[in-house]
Amino acid sequence: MDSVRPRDVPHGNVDERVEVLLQLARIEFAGRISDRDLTDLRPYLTRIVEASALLRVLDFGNLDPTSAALLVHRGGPTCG
Amino acid sequence: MIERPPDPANPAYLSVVDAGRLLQGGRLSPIELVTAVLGLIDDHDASIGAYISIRREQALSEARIAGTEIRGGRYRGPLHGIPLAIKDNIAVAGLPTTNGSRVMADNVTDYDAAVVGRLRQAGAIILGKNSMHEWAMGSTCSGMAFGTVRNPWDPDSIPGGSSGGSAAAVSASLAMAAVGTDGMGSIRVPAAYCGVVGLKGTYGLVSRFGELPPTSSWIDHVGPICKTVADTKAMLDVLAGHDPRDSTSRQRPRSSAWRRTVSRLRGLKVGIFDNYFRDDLEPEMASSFDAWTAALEGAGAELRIVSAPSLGLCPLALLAIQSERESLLLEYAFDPANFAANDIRLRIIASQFISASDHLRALRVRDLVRDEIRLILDEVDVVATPTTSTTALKIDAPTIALGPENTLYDRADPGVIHRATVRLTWPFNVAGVPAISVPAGFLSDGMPWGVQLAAGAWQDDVLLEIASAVEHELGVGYHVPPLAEASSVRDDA
Repeated sequence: MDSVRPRDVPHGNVDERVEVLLQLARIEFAGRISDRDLTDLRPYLTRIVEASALLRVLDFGNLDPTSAALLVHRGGPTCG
Repeated sequence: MIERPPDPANPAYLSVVDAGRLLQGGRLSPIELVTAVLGLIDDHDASIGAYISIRREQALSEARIAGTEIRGGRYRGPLHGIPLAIKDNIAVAGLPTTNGSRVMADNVTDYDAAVVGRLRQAGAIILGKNSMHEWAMGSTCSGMAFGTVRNPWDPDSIPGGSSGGSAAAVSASLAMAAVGTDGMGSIRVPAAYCGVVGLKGTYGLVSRFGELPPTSSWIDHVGPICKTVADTKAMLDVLAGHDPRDSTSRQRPRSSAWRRTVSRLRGLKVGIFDNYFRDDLEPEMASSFDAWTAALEGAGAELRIVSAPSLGLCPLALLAIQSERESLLLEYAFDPANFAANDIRLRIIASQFISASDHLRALRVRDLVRDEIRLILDEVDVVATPTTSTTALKIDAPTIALGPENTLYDRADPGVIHRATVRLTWPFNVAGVPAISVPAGFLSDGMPWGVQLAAGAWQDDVLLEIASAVEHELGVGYHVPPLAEASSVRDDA
């Protein structure tokens, strides 16, 4: 497979994956985390999910570093 | 030599090296020097906030002892009788080591960190502990549990971080030098913002024993913050050395090969990156760096354009830091009262959802970046970059302007502060190679900016020699900031 172009990176399911992680957080940290915290966690989890998606693509060797770096720089994951 | 001190008679404004010569020659006593620095702390630290704790009486007592030793012919070396400050995540026996956190407010260790022990052996006098960004997990030092640290060049600007109190203290002569820590740029960024020199050595050169968690096992470095490169070398000579108590400490000689092959800057091979490091530079920073590289070339250096395509992936490697470092603090994160900075608390909780496989993938990205940087450093003597993309940010600015178009970013967005502060420094943490920030001048906002130089692993002495040549031949160096200019010598020594 040739290098994946930026538009091909599997970001389409980011929101769904973030929702799953928020549900997990709600269950795993029940009674220890507030609704406000769960709301505020969303952007942090989004960064993690986006980074995870890019890492998986990179790890399979089908995204060249230049394209991936472009994605990161254009507002992709910075992970705080 | 420090240029234009506001009060030439006040020894607090001296460099470590110059003060050391006077102390050795008996023309200055440790008690005079410690008293002078404490006087500046009394005058200015209420407005700067560089210190969390000060050991005034112990420092004065130790100064008297040091004076007796020196007068008795038992001079220990360039740091004997020199008052220094220690970042508050490094243990000093008998003092709180808070890590800038309420959680650790009462944490008093009965032991010294390795670097503190080495400094005491060298006769240095520990003045106290410097304020820092909470848990060393940020770079502003604003709104922290123990207050806000302000930049001596502009009290409305941040000093940088996380070693912000240390850089502010050295800049304002509230310490002759300081010891900080650098996981992503936490020594070099505040050094650049405050107009002083900051060095992180090769990974493994300086023991981290007694540097309290959370530290990452592969990016954290302990190092000096000083007024001059010569002071930095004097400090590193004491701080560096193998320590069996730190499993990451290495026993390797520091190379000084450069001094045999190059005379000052003539013939020096300097790598200038054509990617990554220019992306976020504000226009004046970019033009100032271009002028600086032209001056370097004019001094006889040979510029080589280098490229590391994987540098742009650095933010992905952050995932590995986040999962390792921040997972240590989860139990504290559930109580908001434990944290001054809520973003840190949220990052800690979010880090629980980084998978082990993603952690491993992030480490592979780290290896990719590290290998590229190290290969480049095999071909040149040093690489040079700006230390930061902008000068020090305003404490309360809601947006941050980055890049050639001065694009505005919301400061509250996760990652924006990181991008604005440590983006240019942390590739060299990833690579584990020595990197130093030296003052390069001032931009039109009146704030200092710094040039970052990095050399190959274990080329720390080479790097220091090159930095010294840059300091002397391109000549900007340390300047006393305006906050310190109203002081005078105290006569209660």
